[in-house]
Amino acid sequence: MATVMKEVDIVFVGVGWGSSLVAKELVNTGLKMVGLERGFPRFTSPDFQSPEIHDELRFAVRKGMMQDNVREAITLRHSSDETALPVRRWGAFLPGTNLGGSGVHWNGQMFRFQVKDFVWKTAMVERYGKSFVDALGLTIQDWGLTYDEVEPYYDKFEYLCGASGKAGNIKGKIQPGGNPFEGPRSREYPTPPLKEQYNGALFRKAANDLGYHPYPQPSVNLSVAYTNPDGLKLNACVYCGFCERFACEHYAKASPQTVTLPILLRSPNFELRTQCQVARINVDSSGKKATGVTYYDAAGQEVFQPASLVILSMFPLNNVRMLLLSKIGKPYDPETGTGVVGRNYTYQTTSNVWSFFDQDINMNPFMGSGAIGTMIDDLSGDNFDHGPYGFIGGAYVLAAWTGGRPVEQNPLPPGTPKWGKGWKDAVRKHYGHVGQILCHGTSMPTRENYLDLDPTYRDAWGLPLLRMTFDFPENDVKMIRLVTDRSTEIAKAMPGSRQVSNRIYGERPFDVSVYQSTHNCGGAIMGTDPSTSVVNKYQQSWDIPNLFSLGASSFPHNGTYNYTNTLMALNLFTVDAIRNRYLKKPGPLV
Amino acid sequence: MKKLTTVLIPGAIFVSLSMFVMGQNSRGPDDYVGNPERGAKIAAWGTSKGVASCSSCHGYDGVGNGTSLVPRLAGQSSFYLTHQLELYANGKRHNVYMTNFAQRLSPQERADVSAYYASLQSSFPPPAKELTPAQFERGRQLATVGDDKLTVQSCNNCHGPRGLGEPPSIPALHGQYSNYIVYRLQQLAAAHEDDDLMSPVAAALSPEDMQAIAAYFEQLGITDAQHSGGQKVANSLPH
Repeated sequence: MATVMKEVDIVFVGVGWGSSLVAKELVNTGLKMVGLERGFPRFTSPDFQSPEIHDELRFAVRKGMMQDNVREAITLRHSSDETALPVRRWGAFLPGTNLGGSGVHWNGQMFRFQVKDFVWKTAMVERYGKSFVDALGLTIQDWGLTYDEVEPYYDKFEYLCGASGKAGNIKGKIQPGGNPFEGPRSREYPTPPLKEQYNGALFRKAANDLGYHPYPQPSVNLSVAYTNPDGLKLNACVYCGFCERFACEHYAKASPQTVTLPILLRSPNFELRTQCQVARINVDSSGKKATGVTYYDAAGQEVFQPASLVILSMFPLNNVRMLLLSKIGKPYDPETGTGVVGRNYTYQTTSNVWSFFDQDINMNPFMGSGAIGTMIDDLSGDNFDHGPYGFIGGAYVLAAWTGGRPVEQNPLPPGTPKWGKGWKDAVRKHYGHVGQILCHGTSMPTRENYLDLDPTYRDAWGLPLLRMTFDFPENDVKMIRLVTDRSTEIAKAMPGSRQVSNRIYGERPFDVSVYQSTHNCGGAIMGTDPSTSVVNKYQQSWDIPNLFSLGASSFPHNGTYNYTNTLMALNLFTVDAIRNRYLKKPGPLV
Repeated sequence: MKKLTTVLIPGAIFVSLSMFVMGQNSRGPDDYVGNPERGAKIAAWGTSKGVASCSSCHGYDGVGNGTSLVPRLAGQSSFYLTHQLELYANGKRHNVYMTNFAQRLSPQERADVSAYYASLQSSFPPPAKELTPAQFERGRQLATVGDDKLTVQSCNNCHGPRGLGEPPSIPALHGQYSNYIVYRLQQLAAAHEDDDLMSPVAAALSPEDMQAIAAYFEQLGITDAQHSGGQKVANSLPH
């Protein structure tokens, strides 16, 4: 018999970036809010301090901060005619957990999507024609809102985080030093760009020579100390080289711990409960109203938390799984192409290019930061004419070392032995003398790629695991091959470059054992039509108006860029609608 | 009797802030290789250009004087010392005596005298004030873990285990006079200097917290020297 808690106004499932930002924005409403986090609480001091945090083996190799996939994994297959098997060692993507979620160990790369991303289907048909687009076999669609509607919220989140960068387009006027391709922003970044690495300077020269437009990567590892509009202080990054997969000891990375939780946890209206594993969303007999959620607490006891409003912010894969487990919305069926929950699952299409230099070129890769780097946007998204190529989408090209960690940040030329004297000699020769480029690109939805519940495998609580059916579409493989070729040319043109090698991850079959990106996307997408989307543009469930599903699960496709800034801007867009409209008159916002 | 270096935590990271601490000159502090023998002469006798002997305040042994706010220089990173002299010379740090001396020293002489003091292992005088256990504990907490309520990270993140510093650019605090550490924190809190990393940290500390940290690091030097049986110990990491 479940324990029943006192009813609250809002229950948040998952307390990471999404929930903590939305809840923080609502602390002044006086509403009673509860945040349920399956993991542990943790704070910059004492939990993220050095030297313990700079442990590559524990955090980078053994994924110390990631979701425990002994208790709760996903299953994967490349196509519907295969049997999915559990992913017991995270590789390609690294789902987070614990208070703050992936917002703690992310790299702080802070991009906006393109203007066209929000109206992707319309834009592609307009530029390339209906038959070109139909021939691609993709299930792309418009998002239901425009860049202009979202722009003020991008600005707000960037200023909350103190983003470090150089604007390329302010209100339509192109700015020198920034990205000339970017969508218009209302003002300059709050802090200047991070320092440029030597790797980036060499890339800049080569890119300029080849006619591209290099600019500094936008970052929320801050370049200088900053006080945000809420009065919270962040410090300047010290370029320690332990950013992704690690937490920041210096209060220099924008995260829930530095930007949202200090305010949220001070509020008497918000109660944080950790080690609470939510099992399902409870729905009344009409099927149109959520009554709250059921969870297992730290002692394994079943608890029912009644609430007037349920907000899911569990990371895309978990949001979709929660809707399926709760039997909310029609599950997608790839055979018929009908149903919506699990539809349009997408990922990120990437490659690396490495340049090997002589011993006199010192890259000092250990002077790294999560979002440092010099990059070009010329080959991203729809920034070039795809007519000759027969695919859509693109990738950014970024020269960066986020660190020089000995185990994993140590690329060697192809053919180098994997162990022994030959390997040691190669490391001695090459470490610190290698340039690195990342190509990071769009991911297009197809009828075949989708999410559903696994028929066989279950989690530690006995609930079916999420099943991922995914492989890279031909469209995306063509895209990443082209961008990798162009990036290889740039790498060869870097002064002093002796040998260049590359590795494309966006090839078929998808290799889940090698790290690529944690930008899993879609499955509970937004749109204007309930027969092809799960939520409306406010991320409100079409089926259940007092349920919101926040995050990149709402994206109908994945754009070129790291998606945190975009999903957070959409969450701020949602919060305004909740505060100004929903709370006054609960019900469908569209 | 252990040498102090065996107290080091294996794998202590090297964080170089050289990019931050570079002055506007194209030649940086480590472009001049300091000669400790030449430096010893400057320390003992000053120079013909009107630089008084450093030893008249800092001592020939580099032990300085806590009551007079003259910092200990013995065993400090030579890169750091050279850079501080540069900051005094170009006006980014201000002191009525040091500004004058630093300006009258050539860049080579600054490197030489810094190398001399860096090479010394000198004793640690007893503290001027008694340190209470509560102060020690508070200092130890701030040094090793920080304080989330103040958004202050632990000192040791940058200043190394036991405050031994992270050469070349991050100074040792180990065994430095508590008076001097407090004085320096107050300066950093009051103005945004060349050093954007220390100013926010210093500004977040109350006077009591500054005293606690300072007394803690001063005591570490004394304690470690006692544990080595009164032998002279290094007060910073090798550099």
